[in-house]
Amino acid sequence: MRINYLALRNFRNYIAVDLEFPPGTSVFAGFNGQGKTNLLEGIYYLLHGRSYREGELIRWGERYFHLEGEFALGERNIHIEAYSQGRRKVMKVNGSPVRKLSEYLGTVNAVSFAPDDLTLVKGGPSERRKFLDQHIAQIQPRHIAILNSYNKALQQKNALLKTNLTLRDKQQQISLWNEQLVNFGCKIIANRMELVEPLAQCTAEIYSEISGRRERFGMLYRSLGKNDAREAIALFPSFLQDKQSEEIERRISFLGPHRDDLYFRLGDKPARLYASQGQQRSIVLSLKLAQMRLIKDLKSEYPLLLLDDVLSELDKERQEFLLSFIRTANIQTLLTMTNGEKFPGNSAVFYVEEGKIRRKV
Amino acid sequence: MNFLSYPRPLADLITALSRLPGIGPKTAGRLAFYLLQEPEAAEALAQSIRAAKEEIRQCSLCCNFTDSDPCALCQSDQRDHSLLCVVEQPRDVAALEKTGEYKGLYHVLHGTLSPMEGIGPDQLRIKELLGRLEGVKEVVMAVNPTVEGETTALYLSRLLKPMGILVTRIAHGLPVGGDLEYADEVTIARALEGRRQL
Ligand SMILES: Nc1ncnc2c1ncn2[C@@H]1O[C@H](COP(=O)(O)OP(=O)(O)O)[C@@H](O)[C@H]1O
Ligand SMILES: [Mg+2]
Ligand SMILES: [Zn+2]
Repeated sequence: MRINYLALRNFRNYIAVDLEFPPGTSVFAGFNGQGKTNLLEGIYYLLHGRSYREGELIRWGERYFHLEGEFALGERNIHIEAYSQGRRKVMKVNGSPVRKLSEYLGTVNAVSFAPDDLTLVKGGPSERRKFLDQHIAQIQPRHIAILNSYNKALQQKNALLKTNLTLRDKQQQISLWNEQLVNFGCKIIANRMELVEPLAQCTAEIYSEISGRRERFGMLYRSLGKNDAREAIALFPSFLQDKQSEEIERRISFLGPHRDDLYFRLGDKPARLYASQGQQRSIVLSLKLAQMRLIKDLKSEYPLLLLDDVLSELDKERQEFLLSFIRTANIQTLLTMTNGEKFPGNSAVFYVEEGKIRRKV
Repeated sequence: MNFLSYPRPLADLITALSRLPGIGPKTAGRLAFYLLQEPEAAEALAQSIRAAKEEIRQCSLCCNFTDSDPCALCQSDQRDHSLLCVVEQPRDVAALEKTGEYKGLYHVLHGTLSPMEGIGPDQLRIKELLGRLEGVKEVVMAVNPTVEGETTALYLSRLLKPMGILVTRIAHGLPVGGDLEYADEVTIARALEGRRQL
């Protein structure tokens, strides 16, 4: 996928910026706090219908923001517009309003990579789950709606457990919410199981290349404490039933795919405990590149790549690996860097300064 | 907007208006000033609110809003009294009636199960439903396709099925996660036709 054009109005620290993107790699260089991340955030917003960071999107003191982008997928041009209307946010694809985000997610694809992602290995299970679910959503957009429904049922069940209803009432009603949890939960597990396998395989191949075939990376999706997700799906209903009285007693639900984890291994050791800084970076880099390859296999085109401040986080060898991957595969890449860093060869350079962007001639 | 500096009755009016669904503090302020500048409109509005509040009550059978009890629908001999359609809100009855396809009666729950909002079976018109099942052969669940709607339908079907009543669910021609109120008539009609057993 490619991005041809972007217009930002009153978005974060931008008043009005119109940009055309060349194919290949574009570098956005500037000192801290000038708007580099805000620019990538604007693109991310158009592709996902939401941001990944907190804070007000509307430029301070203004009343609305407006984003417009033109993307190209194969021969097809896709025009996406997003703006705020009071507290409401509107999205339009080729002029038609998007009613449900899940209907449109996955029509356009991007993979982003920022320094925060480097905590994926050492962080808690929730970050790895989120990574996996976002990956799935790019391929199966309905996954998001299923996750939302599951979480809704879970919140309702937890609220029920906290009420002062009689034991009989609770038992009767919990089984209803459990049925919803099983319905949506098993779909979640099945989706994860289906998509983790190619991701694991592809990541392992790339990791092996990065490490000069010296190290072996492995990934295992563990659901409900089981190594075999099929077993988890089969057991989930009876698990919930068996735990019911304990859950009622402790007034909290403690079982389900919302607790699942994605285990990373180096050789036969858990990466969370033993991976060095460099190895962690290799793992995350491999994951991101694997995502790119899998999307390419499915959609016959690489996604757009958004790299925010990560190049400087990688050592020379890994930088070179990433850049040559991008070059060989001819992936359109938007890359932010701090002034003074060495820009990769053959890239268009833009300077970002106080919400203004100027192309280097 | 700092409306604490307004005279008390005006501030109260703005607060009351801003509690209405879909009305924020800004709109509430605009409406309040409009009403003060147009005394006749204000009087007419006050009267119709009072009249509606006094004359409209819930039908003792179907729990829909009505000014006569039982309501016209429940009294009609043009309708099939062995068929009940369960909906969440009175406005859903209006949406289904617009299709002209449905010939049975309705039952309005006034909500869905939602422990988060403190709504259990006792807060819904479920007792009233159980009290009017004589001669009823089929109950159609036309709740919204949300998690809460589905769970409520499931709860009811577990109560009704053991009584030998056929429980069906309207088909999802409806957008999942969507509201019945906004669906167009053709979609609702098609959904009614394709109802299936629960
Ligand atoms: N809603 C907003 N209105 C105006 N400025 C904003 C808004 N949100 C963030 N900013 C400003 O944007 C700047 C951060 O930009 P960012 O893109 O994160 O910088 P960087 O170039 O380092 O990536 C900060 O100076 C912040 O004050
Ligand atoms: Mg930044
Ligand atoms: Zn009635």
